[in-house]
Amino acid sequence: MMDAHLIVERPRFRLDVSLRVAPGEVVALLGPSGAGKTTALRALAGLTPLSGGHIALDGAAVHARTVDRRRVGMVLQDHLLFPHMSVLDNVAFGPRCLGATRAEARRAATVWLERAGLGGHLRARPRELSGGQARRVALARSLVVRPRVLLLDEPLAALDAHTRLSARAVLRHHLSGFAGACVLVTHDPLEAVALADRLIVIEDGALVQEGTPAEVARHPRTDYVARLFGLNLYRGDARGREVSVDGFPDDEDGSFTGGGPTFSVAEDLKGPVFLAFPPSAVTLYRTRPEGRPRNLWHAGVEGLVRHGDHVRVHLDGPITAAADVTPAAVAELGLSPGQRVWAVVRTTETHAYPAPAPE
Amino acid sequence: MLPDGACGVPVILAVPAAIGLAFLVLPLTALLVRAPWRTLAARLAEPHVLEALRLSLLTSSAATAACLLLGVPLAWMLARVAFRGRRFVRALVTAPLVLPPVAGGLALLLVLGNGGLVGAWLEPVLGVRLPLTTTAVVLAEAFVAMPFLVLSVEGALRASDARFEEAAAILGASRWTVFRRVTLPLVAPGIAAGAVLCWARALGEFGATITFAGNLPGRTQTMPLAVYLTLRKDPEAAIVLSLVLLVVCAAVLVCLRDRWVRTS
Repeated sequence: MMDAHLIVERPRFRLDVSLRVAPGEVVALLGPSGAGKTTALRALAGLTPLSGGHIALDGAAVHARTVDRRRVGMVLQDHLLFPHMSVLDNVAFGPRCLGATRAEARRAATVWLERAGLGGHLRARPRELSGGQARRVALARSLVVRPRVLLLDEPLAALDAHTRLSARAVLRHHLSGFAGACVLVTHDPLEAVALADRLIVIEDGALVQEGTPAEVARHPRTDYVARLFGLNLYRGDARGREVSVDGFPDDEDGSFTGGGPTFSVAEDLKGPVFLAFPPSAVTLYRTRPEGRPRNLWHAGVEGLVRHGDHVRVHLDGPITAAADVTPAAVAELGLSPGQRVWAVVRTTETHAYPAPAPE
Repeated sequence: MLPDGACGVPVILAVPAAIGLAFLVLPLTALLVRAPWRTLAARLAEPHVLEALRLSLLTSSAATAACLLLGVPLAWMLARVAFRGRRFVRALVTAPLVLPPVAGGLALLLVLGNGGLVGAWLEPVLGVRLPLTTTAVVLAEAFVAMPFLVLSVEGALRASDARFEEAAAILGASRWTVFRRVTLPLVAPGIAAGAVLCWARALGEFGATITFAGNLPGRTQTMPLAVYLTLRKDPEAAIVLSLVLLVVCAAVLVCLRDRWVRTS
């Protein structure tokens, strides 16, 4: 069990994050660049000194220990295999430092490298390896010393989308066999969801959200998290099954935007809430739809971006939102930037959940 | 991109460049042209030439070894340890680089000479007299040549990726192990390049040597000193000596170029 409260103070930046990671658990630190993810990881490893707080491993405080006595493993994005040593000696380096004889160290390294499918590359130099092989060597080098904590910094970021998929499966397999606590830093939500049991989202040095991938993806609490998981997110005020969103016209009809009611939602709530819906829940019309559809507003098209097999339409107006439509619909509606359209969100796909009261 | 070839090079740069090159190469050519080729073999075999050459190679190698032993740790301190007054220390290290060697030799004499700050204490306690000994030659050469090594190694350390050292520390390596097994191998080309520069500078040392160590044939008379003193009575012998120095330097540079200097 790792229990840490990391405080790192720098001019113009303060990291203050608490995290607890159980043995065998994989926690992903997510956050925009500059949020302090890497600083947190370096602080855990001992490369960046703490300004305050503590790090305890299995109840023993380790934050006063130097890097080489912490028993952590760390794999960085560019692996940092020692270029002047063979693959075997890279992996044997850790055991040697911990007092093993050369023969013992090499034996342990061989076992780990064979397990990683690299038994045929023991004598190779790191520069002769492919990216995937280098990553497996780096992982073996970290795991051979049986660390109590494994830290991974953007483990798959250097790979292209295709190899990333298989690399993720391999990494997942290795992590599932690791008995210690594992913390990985990433800004790729797919990577986090695929590898981690729990997500911790950091923004501006502070923890903003924590939970299982499913919880975080479904209930984003900041714009960053919502964008990460491709959701539209608003703060609003709930009265029963109605949510008035900040900036969304409150009156029944005929406001300056052409109007619409408050959002109708499936949940029965009261007070400050978050309201989220996926871009695919939005339907666009050229003219005001017949009848009295709920969740209707008059929006301006800000831009169009091709997104896989659909087109993401960015809307401004009373609220900014993203809508996913088919290329056929774009042609049919004749969508182009600057145009006005009517947007409707299906009530069944909106999702409201309590938010902390605004300060 | 500018076009390659002569048409792409402005005259205002090409002419000074050509003159500069000629200025560097012509004197060496003159040495070759005026060398007494017919009597060369006989002159080379003269005992005082071989004596001076042996002494020069010995002392400059010893000086380089001393510089490696002291200069690499100094460079490491300058590159890796953030201590107060680091910039000042770096300026001090480069001082022998800009100080006229004669002044350096005098300074050494004041410290290690018979009545010097440390020298006065060396003789009665340890029974060591430095001036007019081969050791003094080595000290004078090391004093003048060390900055070349320190600056070169420090540059190599700064250019090398310190994250390899972090990776090693995370794997459990103490700072000394990191230095020995990761830092040193990674900057080995830089150290070798620095050692070559240092050795060449030591080989050519004149001012500090003659001031501090004197000019005793067989003991402190190195090649440059021999060249200078032979020049008056026998200019042709001086040319031969210079030629030997030139050949030795060229041979060392050629031998090491492919192995070390190019990769740094």
